[in-house]
Amino acid sequence: MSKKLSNIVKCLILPIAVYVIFFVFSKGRFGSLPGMLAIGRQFVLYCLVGWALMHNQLMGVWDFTPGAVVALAGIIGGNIALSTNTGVAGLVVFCILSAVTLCLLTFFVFHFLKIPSMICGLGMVLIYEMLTTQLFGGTGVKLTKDITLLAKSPYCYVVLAVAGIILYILFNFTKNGANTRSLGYGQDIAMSIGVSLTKTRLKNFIIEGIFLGLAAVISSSQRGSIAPTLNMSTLSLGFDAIMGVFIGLNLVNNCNLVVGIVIGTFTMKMVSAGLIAMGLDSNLQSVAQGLFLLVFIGISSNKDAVSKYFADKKKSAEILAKIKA
Amino acid sequence: MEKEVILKCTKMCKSFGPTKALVDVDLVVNRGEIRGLIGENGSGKSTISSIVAGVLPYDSGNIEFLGKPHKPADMLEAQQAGISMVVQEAGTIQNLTVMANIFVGKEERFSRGLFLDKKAMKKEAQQILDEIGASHIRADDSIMRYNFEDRKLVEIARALYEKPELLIVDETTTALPHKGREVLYRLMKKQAKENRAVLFISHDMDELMDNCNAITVLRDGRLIATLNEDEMSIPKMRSLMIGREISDEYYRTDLDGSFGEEVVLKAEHLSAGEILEDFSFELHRGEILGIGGLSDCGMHDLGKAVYGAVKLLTGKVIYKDGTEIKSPAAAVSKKMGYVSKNRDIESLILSSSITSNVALPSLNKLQKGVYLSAKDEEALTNEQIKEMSIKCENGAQTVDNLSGGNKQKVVFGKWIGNKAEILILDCPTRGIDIGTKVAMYKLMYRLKQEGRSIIMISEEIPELIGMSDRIIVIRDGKLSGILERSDTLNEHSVIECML
Amino acid sequence: MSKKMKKLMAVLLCFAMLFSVTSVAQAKEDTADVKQVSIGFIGWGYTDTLGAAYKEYFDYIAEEFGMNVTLVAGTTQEEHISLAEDLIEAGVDGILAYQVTSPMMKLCDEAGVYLMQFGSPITDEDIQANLDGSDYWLGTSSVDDYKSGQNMVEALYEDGCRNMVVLGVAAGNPCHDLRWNGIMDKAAEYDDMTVIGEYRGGTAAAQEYSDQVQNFVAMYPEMDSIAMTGASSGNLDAVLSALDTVGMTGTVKLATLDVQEGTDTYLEEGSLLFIGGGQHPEVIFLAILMADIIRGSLDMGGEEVSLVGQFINIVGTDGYEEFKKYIMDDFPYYIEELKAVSTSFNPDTSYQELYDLWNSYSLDDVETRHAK
Repeated sequence: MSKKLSNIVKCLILPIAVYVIFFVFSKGRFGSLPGMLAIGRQFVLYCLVGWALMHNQLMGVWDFTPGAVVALAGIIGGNIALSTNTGVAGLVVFCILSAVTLCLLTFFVFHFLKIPSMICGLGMVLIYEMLTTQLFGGTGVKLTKDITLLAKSPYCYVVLAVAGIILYILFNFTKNGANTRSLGYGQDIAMSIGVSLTKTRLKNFIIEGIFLGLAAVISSSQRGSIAPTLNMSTLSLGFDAIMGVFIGLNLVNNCNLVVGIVIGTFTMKMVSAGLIAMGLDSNLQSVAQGLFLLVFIGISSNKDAVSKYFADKKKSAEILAKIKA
Repeated sequence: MEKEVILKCTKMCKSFGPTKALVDVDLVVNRGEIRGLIGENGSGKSTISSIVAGVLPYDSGNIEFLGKPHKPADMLEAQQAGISMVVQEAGTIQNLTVMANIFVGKEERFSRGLFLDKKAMKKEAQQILDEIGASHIRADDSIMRYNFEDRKLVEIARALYEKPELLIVDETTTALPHKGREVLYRLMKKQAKENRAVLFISHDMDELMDNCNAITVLRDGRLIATLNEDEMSIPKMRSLMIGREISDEYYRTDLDGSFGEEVVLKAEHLSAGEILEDFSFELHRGEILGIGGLSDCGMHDLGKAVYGAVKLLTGKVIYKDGTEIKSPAAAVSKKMGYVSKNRDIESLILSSSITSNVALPSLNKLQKGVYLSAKDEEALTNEQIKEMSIKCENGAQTVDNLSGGNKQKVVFGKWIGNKAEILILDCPTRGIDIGTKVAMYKLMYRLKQEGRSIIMISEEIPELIGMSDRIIVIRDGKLSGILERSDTLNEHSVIECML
Repeated sequence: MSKKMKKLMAVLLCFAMLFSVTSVAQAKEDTADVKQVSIGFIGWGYTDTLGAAYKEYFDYIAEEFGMNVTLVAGTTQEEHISLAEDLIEAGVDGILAYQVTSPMMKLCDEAGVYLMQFGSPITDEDIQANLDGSDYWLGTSSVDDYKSGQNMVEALYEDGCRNMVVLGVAAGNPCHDLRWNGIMDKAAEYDDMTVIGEYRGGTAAAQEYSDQVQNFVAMYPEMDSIAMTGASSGNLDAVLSALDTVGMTGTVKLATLDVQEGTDTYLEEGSLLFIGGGQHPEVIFLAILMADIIRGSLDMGGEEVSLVGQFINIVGTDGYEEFKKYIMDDFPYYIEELKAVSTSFNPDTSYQELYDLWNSYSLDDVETRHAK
C-alpha cells in the first residue's frame, strides 16, 4: 500500500468505525442521509471553533474562552447588526470584529501577565459571561429570521469551505504558520533561532478571533438568539471543539492538522448523534460519551505501545527459537 | 602576508550572577583559520561562542565582526551578519520537515505575497543538503524519519546555508559517530579554504590537532594563550588548560587485569532494543569490564538491559544471590548504579538541587520510619561534594547551573553515596574536560581496588584499552570478541573485532 | 509591564470574577412603619425571564413591606451554602433559597436565622428530618412543577401527538426534575404515546438542544412533539430555530414552561403548542410570610408553611394576550392586595387567607381582580 493511501486509511478508520458501530447498534436509525446532513450542519460550528483554537493549542495554549467569546461576540455583533440594519453582512463583520477584540484582550492578559493559559482562560470566561449579562440591558440578542441565513445549508457549508481554505493557506503556506509549527514543536530551539513568540501569539489570537467571530455568526443564526449566560455554562462549546482538535493532533502524522480537525469534530458530532439514535436514556448517554473519550484517548496514547508489544513478542519468539537451535 | 581579521573581541566580559564566565577576553580570529577553542568545563568556551552567535548578550567589552560593531539581539541577527553555529545538543524541531528545519525563521525569503513558495524552499533545501554531502536526506521528509546524526547534518545545512563568514562548531563532534565527524571536518576545511573561518570547540585534542591551524586556550574565563600551528602540541595544550603538567598516562598504568573469582552479575541470553541479541557475559568482583563496539552495535541498550531499565525480549540478568534484575528499583536494591550516556535527561534532575539528586537513591537508607531528615541528606551530599571535589556553592545549588564535569561528578556521587557495589557506566567521560576525566579514571581504579565491579561502555577505544580488565566487543548486537588486558592489546585488535 | 501593574490587573480580575459569580442586588432602604426585616434570597441568576421577574417584583414591594432584600445567585449546593454564610455574616434575619440542605440549616440554626425553600417542596427524607428538628425552619413554597409536566404532555396528547421527545436540564435541579418526572409519568399513562428519545443538557444548553433537535428530526421521522422542561436561557429560540431549519415548523409541536419574549409569534406559527409560566409571585408570598413571622405578627404554632401555586398555562394562541397584559406587563398582585394578606399590615388576616390567595392563582383570577 502506498504511503498516501495508508495515511488516508489511518485517518478514516476512526470516523468509519464510529459510523459502523452506531449504524449497527441503532439498527439503522443512525447513518441515513438526513441524519448525516444534520450532523454536517451541526459540525460546522464546532469545526470553526476547533480551527480557531488550532494555532494556539499547537503552541501549548489551552484556551477555554471560545464559548464565552462566541456568546459575547454574537450578542454584540448581533445587536449592532440589527440596530444598523446591515443584514447578514453586518452580522458577519460585527461578530468578527467583536470576537477579534475579545481575543486580543485575552492575549494581552495571558501574554503579559504570564498567567497559565488555563487559569487565564477561566478568568476571562467569567468576565465575558458577566459582560453578556450587562451589555444591551442584559437581554442578549434575538435575531430576526432574515439574518439567520447562514445557519441553513448550503450556506453554512460555503462558510465552512471558505474558512477552511483560508485556514489551510494560513497554516501551511505563510510564515506565521511555519513559525507556529516551529514554536509548537520546539519552542526553545525556535526562539533561540530568533522566531518571535510574541508576534506569533498575537497573530494567532487574531486568527482565533476571526474564526470565533464566524462561529458566533453560525451559532446565533442556528439558535435564533443568544441569551446571557453565567456560571461557566459556555465551557461546553470549547470542550467539544478541543476534543476535535485533540483527535486532529493525533492524526497529524497522517494528514494535515486542518483536515484532522475536520475529521475529529465530525467524529465527535457523530458520537453525539449516535447516542441519540441508539435511544439511550440521558444517564447512559453521558456514560457512553465518557467511555468513548477514554477508549479513544487510551488507544491513541498507546497505539505505538500496542504495535511494539506484538512486534517484540514476535522478535523474542524468533530469538528463542535460534537459541534453542 | 598579514591575515585579515574576521572577528575581534576586545576585553569581553560576561558574568552569570556571582560567577565570572569571561574576564577581559581578547580574541582575534582571522580569515582562512580553523581556530580551536579549548579549555576545561567552565573555562568560558561555550560562553564566547554563545555571545558571538547571538544566543547571549555580553556585559562589557567590544566585538567587531567584519570590521563592524557586532551586538546581535538573537541568532537570526547573528546569522544575517554572517555567523552561524552548530551545537552539541539536538537543535532540530520535531514534527517539522527537513526544509522547515533548515529555513526556520527565514521563511520570508520564500514569500510570494502572503504565501510561501514551498517548491522553491524544497529545491534550495535539497541543494544545500547535496552540497554538504547529505543527499540521502530528502528535503520534504519529516525530520522524525532521521536519526541523530542525520538531524545534525540538517543543522549543519541550516548553519551553512547562509554561507557564513564564521562558522562556530560547539562540541558538535562529541555526539557524532565517525562518519558524521568526517563530514563535519570536510566542511570545516572547505570553509577555511574558501577564506572564511571556523571557531571549533572540542575536548578531543586529537581532532583539534588534526583540523585546526591555531588553538586558543581558556582557563577560568581568561584567555591564556593562542598557539599557532608550529606551537600546537597535546601536552602543551593540556598544561595550559589546567595550569600544570599532566603526563600522558591518565589511564591506569598497571597491566594487571586480574579480578576476583566471584561472579557478582550474570547476563544470560540477553536480547533488547533493535539490535542486541542473545548476549551473555559474567561480571566479577573487582573487575572493570569494558564494552565496546560501533555506536549502533547495541552496547548502550546492553547497559540499560543489565540495569533493568528496558524490557528484555529474551534472557535474564541475575545478581549473585540469584535475584533476577527486572527493574531499576530491583537493581538499586542490590546496590547497583547506572550512569547514563544521556546525563541531562536520564541521570540528573536538572531543576533540582545537588542534595536532591545525590540523596535520591539513598532515601530508603536515610529515612527513619516515615521521617526523612534533611540534615542527613545534607550530610550525605556534603560528603560527596568533598569526595568528588564538586565545584559548587553548596548542596542547595541546582544542578543545571553546574558545568558538564561537575554534573558528572554529581551523578557519580549519588551512586557512591549509596555504596553501589556494581556500577554500569555508559560513556562516563563524554563531554567532560581532561581534568575531570583524570579524576574519573582515578576513581574507577580506586573502586576496583575496593572490590567493586564496573561495566564501562565506551565508544573511545583508548579509554577501553586504558581502563578495562577485559574488553567485550559487540558487533551487530552479538558478542564479537573478548580481549584481555595486556601490553600487546592495541587499537588495531579492538577495531578488528568491531568491524 | 511593571510588577505594580500586574498586581493591579490581578486584583481587577479577582474582582470581576467575584462580581460575575455573585450578582448582588439590593432593594431600597425601607421607610415603612413596620420593623425593618432583612432577607437574603438565593436564586440561580437574574438574567433569565423568571429570575428577572423575581428581581422586578422584589424591587416593587420591598420598600412598601419594610424589607431589605439581598439577591445572590449560585448553582451548586456548595455555592449556596457559601452564599448562605455570606448572607448570615451580612446580618440577614431570614434566607429564602431554592436548594435547602442540612448544612445550610445548621448554619441558620447556629446564627438564629430563619430559612425557607421556594420552587419545590423538600423531597429528601433525610433533609426533611434535619429540618424538622430546627426552630428556624419555616417551610416551603412551590408551584406544581410535577403537575405542569403532566399538563404539557396532556396538551400534546390532546393535540394528537403520539411520538414525543423529551428535552431537559441535567438531573439535580429540583424544579426541572419534578417537571421531567411529571412528563415521563404522564406519557406512560397513555398506551398509544411513546417517548421515542430524550436528552438532558446543561443549564444553558441552547446550542445542545438545537443540535439534538436536528438529530432527532433526522433519525426519528415519526417524531411529532417535544416536551421541554424549561424554555429560558435561549432554549425556546434554539429549539424552534432548529425546527425551522429542518422545515418542521408547525409539524413538530413543542410544549414547555417559562414564558419568554417572542412566545406570541411562536404560538401563532403553531410550532409552540403549550407554554406555562407566570409563577414568579410565589417568592413574594413566601417573603411576606417570612417577614410576618420574623416580626412576630404571625405565629404558625409550630406548623410548617407549605404554599402551593400553579403555572398559568397557555395553549395555542388562547390566552396569550391576556397573559402578556396582566402577568408579564403588570404585577399579578398589587401592593394593597398583598398587604391585605400580611399580618404585619392587616392583623385580622391569617396564613390561610394568604395561602388561598396564592393557591387560587390563575389568569381568570388576575383578570377578575385587575380588569382593564
